[in-house]
Amino acid sequence: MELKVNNLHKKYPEVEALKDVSFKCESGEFLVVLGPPGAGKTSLLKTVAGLEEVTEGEIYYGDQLFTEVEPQDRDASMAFEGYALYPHLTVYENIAHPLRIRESHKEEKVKQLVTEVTEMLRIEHLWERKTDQLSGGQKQRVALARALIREKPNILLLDEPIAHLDASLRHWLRGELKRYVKTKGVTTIYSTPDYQEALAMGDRILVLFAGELKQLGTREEILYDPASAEVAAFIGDPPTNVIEASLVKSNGDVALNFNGAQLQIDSEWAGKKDLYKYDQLLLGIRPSDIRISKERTGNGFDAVVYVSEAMQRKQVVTLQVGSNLIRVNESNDLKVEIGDEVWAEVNVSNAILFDPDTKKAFG
Amino acid sequence: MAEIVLKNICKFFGDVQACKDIDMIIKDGEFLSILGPSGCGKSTTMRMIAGLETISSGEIYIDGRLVNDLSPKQRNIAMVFENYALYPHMTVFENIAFPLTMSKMKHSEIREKVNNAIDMLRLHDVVDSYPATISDGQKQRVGIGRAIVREPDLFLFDEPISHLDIMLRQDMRKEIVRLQRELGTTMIYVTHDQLEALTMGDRIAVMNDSYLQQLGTRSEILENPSNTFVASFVGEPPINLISAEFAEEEGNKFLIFDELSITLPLDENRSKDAFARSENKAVTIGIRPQFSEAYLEETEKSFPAEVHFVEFLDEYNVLTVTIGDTRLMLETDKSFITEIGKTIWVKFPENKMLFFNRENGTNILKSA
Repeated sequence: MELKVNNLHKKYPEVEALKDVSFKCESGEFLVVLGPPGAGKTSLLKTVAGLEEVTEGEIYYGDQLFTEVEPQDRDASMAFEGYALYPHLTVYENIAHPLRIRESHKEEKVKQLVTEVTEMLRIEHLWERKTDQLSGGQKQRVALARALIREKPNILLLDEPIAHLDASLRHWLRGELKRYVKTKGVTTIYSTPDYQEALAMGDRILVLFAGELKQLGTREEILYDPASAEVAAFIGDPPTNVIEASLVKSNGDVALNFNGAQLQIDSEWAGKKDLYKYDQLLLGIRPSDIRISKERTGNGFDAVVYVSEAMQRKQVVTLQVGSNLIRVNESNDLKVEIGDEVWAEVNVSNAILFDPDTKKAFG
Repeated sequence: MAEIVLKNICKFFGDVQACKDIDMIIKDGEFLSILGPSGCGKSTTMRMIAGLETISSGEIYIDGRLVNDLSPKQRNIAMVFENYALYPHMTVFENIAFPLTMSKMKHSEIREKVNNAIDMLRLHDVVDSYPATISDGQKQRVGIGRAIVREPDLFLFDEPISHLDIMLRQDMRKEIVRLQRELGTTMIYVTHDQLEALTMGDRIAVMNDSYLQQLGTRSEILENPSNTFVASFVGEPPINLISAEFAEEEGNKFLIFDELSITLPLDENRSKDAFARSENKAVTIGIRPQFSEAYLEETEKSFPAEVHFVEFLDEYNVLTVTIGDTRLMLETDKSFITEIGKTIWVKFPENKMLFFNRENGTNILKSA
């Protein structure tokens, strides 16, 4: 059944964790909540679970007003950071526990389900251990297995469930976990601060910043059509450069200025984007839309190489223009040194523009 | 500036051996990353260099001087930890100046050094702020500033940014690299994060199980790992490791992947060399996802696989495919369109294969 959140607010004495959040999660959907630490991800999942009360707003599960339902009757299966395992039970019994109290299965079936989930999470060798004999990463996987094992809870809530695992296992689990959950058809809300995990796993992605919903969309929408400057500056490694620029207009020609650098703008394009009503705006340039060269070619600006970092498939060159640091994706073949004076050619037609006050995308 | 030499370093904590026979030379002005999982001995190694742990056996030299019995202070080293321990009652300026005020340096000289550090770390806006009012990234910069002003011979950074969020980590990564390049001071940087180690280090020392597994440049570690541990700990998406057997028939050499029901003829001298050096012919083949090729139709030396999962990332996609019970990961262009359940054709380029001894995991072509 579909989950509907209406104008949700969550206030703690010190901080407002959720500000007027509204969205729908469709039946069987795998929704990923993406945001930096402190964005309100855990608060959102906990209010849906009923572990935290809402300050204002409603949560519906189908026609049922969830906010009036006791947590244990919401039938949510969940894994949260620090969500305690039973110390007196073995790993096997911890994982089988929800099946024993919520569903009635023959022991053979229980064993089969525990086998499946523990093999996927690579903890099948730990069945007989007590939980105090486990490492942090192993405990996290036992808690995750316990959340996943139910055949058909109303909703599955997973709060950064693979954050503490090694990069390689984390990468394997993206696919395994998503397939496992989708096969069961359970409506799932999954949180992570890792945009790649979000892109890889989410049917849709909900981006939270400082308690506010900034965008809810498919991976293509989040990647290519960010709704706000915050989203753009969060997605990508490195993310989109967001630069404060002023608009210089003379005789119908338009240019964007920042720190002495100037980018010419096609006037037709400027008209289409309704640029003329602005004096200031936020200019978003993706690291792949800049090319570094020694000669001044095309539309671009002078810059000084701040530093370059070699990655597995490319290098990221950081350029300095006044107080702005601008990151560029370049091939590892390009040789640059700190302090080199270079030309940065920009594919301006791919730029994304944001309102300087609301930070929302326009045009 | 200093060259660091570690000779047969061992460390025991009671019966537990944390470091076993560590040998390495860190060049003057080099940025060395020490990478490994928790408990591998990397922090212990660093702490012995700093003088915070005694050395059970072996020798450590800093610029030719044996330092085994020197106190941390006498070694002229500056350390930066995850926990930056700033003084809450001092401003940013005073915190950075603190190590100098303890010495008998002139005020004007202190001011100049601190201002230089503030320039370099771009802390101008918060010079007079107190630690409680600045961000975590700025706090870490202040911690680094305090290390810089002492003008040490060697920087030791122990997981300095692992607690910061993704955005700040990206930001600090480049700041630390820039700083080290600008100052030219030898740097040892301990981390469990392979991305940090690979992007920042001139060379990377990979540790596991108390041993140094490999010391090399980024491309050496990625393209020619010493063993299956290094191969699988480094690189994303993770490397594919598959069991195989070398076989020979009528003078032709083959690689048989039993679990995949695939036989590949070997054409290249490099593979034939691995064949010749392999004693029992049982090997583990390593192939990185970015070198595994995917085709929509059958092509020479390719084999069919079912698409198990598709990850759409920003610059490329990652496919997980299954062949029998084996799962493999492949990196594909954004233009390669497929979906879960479809059959695609996979090819392992022979010149990109890594050959490991299946019993002990060592790289057959490297160890000899």
